[in-house]
Amino acid sequence: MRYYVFSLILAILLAIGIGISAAKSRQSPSVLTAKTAITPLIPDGLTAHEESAPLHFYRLLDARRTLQGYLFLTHELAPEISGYNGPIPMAVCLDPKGTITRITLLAHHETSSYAQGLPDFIQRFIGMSPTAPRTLGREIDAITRATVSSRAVAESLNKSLSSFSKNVLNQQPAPKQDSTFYFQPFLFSLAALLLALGGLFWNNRHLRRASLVFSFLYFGIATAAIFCTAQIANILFHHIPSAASNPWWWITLVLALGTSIIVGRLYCSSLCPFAFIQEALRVISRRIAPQINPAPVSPADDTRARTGKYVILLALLSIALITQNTAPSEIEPYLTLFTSHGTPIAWILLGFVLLCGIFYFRFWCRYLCPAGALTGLLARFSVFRLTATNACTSCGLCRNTCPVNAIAGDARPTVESAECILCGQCQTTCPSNALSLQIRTSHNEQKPVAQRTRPNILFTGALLFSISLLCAVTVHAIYASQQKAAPTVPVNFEEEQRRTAAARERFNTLGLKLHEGKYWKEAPHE
Amino acid sequence: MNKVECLLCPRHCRIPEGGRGNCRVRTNVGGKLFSLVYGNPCAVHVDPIEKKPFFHILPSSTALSIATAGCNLHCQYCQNWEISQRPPEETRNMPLAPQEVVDAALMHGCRSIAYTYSDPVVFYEYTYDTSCLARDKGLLNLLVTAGYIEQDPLVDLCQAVHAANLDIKGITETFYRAMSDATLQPVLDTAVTMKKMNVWLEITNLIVPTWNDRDEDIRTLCRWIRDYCGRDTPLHFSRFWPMHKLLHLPPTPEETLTRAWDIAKAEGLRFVYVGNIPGHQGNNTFCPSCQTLLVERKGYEVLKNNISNGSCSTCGAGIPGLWK
Repeated sequence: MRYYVFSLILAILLAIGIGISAAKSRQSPSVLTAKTAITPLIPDGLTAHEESAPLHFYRLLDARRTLQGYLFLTHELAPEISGYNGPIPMAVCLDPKGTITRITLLAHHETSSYAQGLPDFIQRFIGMSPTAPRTLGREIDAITRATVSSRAVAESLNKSLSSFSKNVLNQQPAPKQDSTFYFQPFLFSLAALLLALGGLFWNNRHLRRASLVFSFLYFGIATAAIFCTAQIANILFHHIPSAASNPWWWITLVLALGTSIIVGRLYCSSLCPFAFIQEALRVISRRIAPQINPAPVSPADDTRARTGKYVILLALLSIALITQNTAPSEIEPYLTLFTSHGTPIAWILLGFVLLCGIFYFRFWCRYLCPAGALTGLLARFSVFRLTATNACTSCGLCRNTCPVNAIAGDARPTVESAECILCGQCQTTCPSNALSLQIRTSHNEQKPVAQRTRPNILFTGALLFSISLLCAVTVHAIYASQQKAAPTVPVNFEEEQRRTAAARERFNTLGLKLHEGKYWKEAPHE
Repeated sequence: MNKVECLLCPRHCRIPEGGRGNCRVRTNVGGKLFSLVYGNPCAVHVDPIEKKPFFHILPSSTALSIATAGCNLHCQYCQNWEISQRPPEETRNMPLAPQEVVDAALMHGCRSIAYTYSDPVVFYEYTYDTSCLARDKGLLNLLVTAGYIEQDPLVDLCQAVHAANLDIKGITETFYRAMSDATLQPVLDTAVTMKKMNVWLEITNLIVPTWNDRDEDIRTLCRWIRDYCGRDTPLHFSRFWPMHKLLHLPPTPEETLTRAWDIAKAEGLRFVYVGNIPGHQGNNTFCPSCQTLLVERKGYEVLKNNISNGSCSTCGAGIPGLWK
């Protein structure tokens, strides 16, 4: 019954979120489409003359009204391109030939962990021109672990520049040379998926491990593209990037949620880089200190604790919705690990979660992971389900072997799809080979019987401590997200620019020149 | 848009966007303060240095005198009101960059540049830049000012200024307020600061009948100068001519000026002069020790100069001033 409640609440949250963002975009222009104050973005000594056709851009003129360059905003010329959390708007100044001379980063919503290197990274594009061969792909040294954001920057600049040069400068931009770069993510992801599916359907743990290693190396280390709650928050806020600009956003979404709908929590067993870390740590710790014999989590504790991740998921999404910011949903420890950026509390959380993972199998995944909660909720509706066929002899071995306590029932074991991570241990253990993936035909699930035992103090303590760390990290993220200041530009700056331009004109006609005065200060407002 | 507060003179004008300061030549554009007269003087003349009046500096030499429009005082008797009580758009200006000023001075054989007529305080940036260039070229910088300026800009400017003629117009606050719409104390502070910065100071006082011609006032003024600027500070009493807003008053009688001259000498000031009265003994410089006539002047012309190497040729006493 609980799962239905959670699914319902999730659906409501999604509906509210999408409704709000749809209403917002229809009603009033968002920050991005509102008039950006141009004055602080243009070089000194020039004025900006606005034009609307064929695109919205500005001509930059000097005092003699000679053309000195152009200015456009990337989110107006290439609105479909976004990073992890929405478009990354930039103001680009060009010289009369179309070469980029200056790029200013405007407000953006990328996480601080991804976006710290953005302002410097953007400067590398100065000098890019529509006719010179664009240096994309391997030549551009992207921000470590933040390929998504950096690709968004490169794509926005690319697209807006070529659109501008085609429509305004009437030049054909040089053809892109890095088309192979686009196929790379899809190829690799397909390989990972095939490995995972092979490991699943043939119950081959080598393939599963290979898929985990591959995912760790590619999705973890190489691209830091891991499925996380932030992507759901993106959907809530309608910041959905195009596949061409941000392939990994779509790839991780399809891999995680698509496989959940079809076979169940395959992502959790075979495609999650953090899963690899946890299992690798267990293997290493067992080799180093075999005397560590972690007490298994009692079914009662497990049953009580496993709702934690659903509550966490819903709480994070609600907070993101309320604060209208995706930052509170970006607190997962695997993000801290693979982007190497995080507050000290976030690192403590990561360390503690990994430590608990050594003692309690998949501690994070079973009790705390909001991404796992989401895949779990979807897995309950999966096409395929792990079922016990008629060959089952009710020996109960699978139930005892299941490392995540997902199997229950005495007569015929039933697998709770929301918790089952498709690790295949039950299939391996079953002496009759009775467990296999079958297309879901009936709804005969039994709820696992919660035994009334006293909760394990150590386990409960570890759980509560991790939850409190999570709360601390979330609160800090909320606080930081409210602090994150977009470069603030006074709203009526253009009005003032117009007025001061008039004043300067007046002095010009009087034959007087303005010379900067010494010994003055701004007068405090009365 | 923001107002700016000008910190150049004690008025501290709070100038709104597009507005001007009290001096008419400083304006607020876009929240920044600008000077409207930089490099744009409305008066450029070659004058004898005695006209400024400077009697103890480079006698018989000429000074290139420049001024722009505007002034931060509004004296009712202003002799130069046509440029000082006007905004720069109403005066005939000519573009003359600081370097061009220096070149012009050298070309005309001037040995100094005088910032005069209106008031160098209001064209401060122009004065500052030109003085720095002039000093490097060996020219002397002479300020002829009412001294209504804040201390910080004054100290900065005085580093490039060799001599100043300060107008202490009266010795009471009421006089300054009524006559010039200003206050007295900043002017006195300017005198003291200039002395401290080793600027050669000569004081001018214009005696206006019925305004500041009482004996007590003159005596107070002389005592102040003697105590705070030193007995060697030359004091010039000038004659008033009806001008601007005081057209109903008579010119200062000669007796009044002579009386002031006597009072000043009685108070111990060594070099007292009377201007605007040709033939008066007050035009000449006498040695404070032996009373011999050192420099004889007729109007602005030097007839005789008996100062050799800065000392009296008779008794050898040192005569303060910049003679070379």
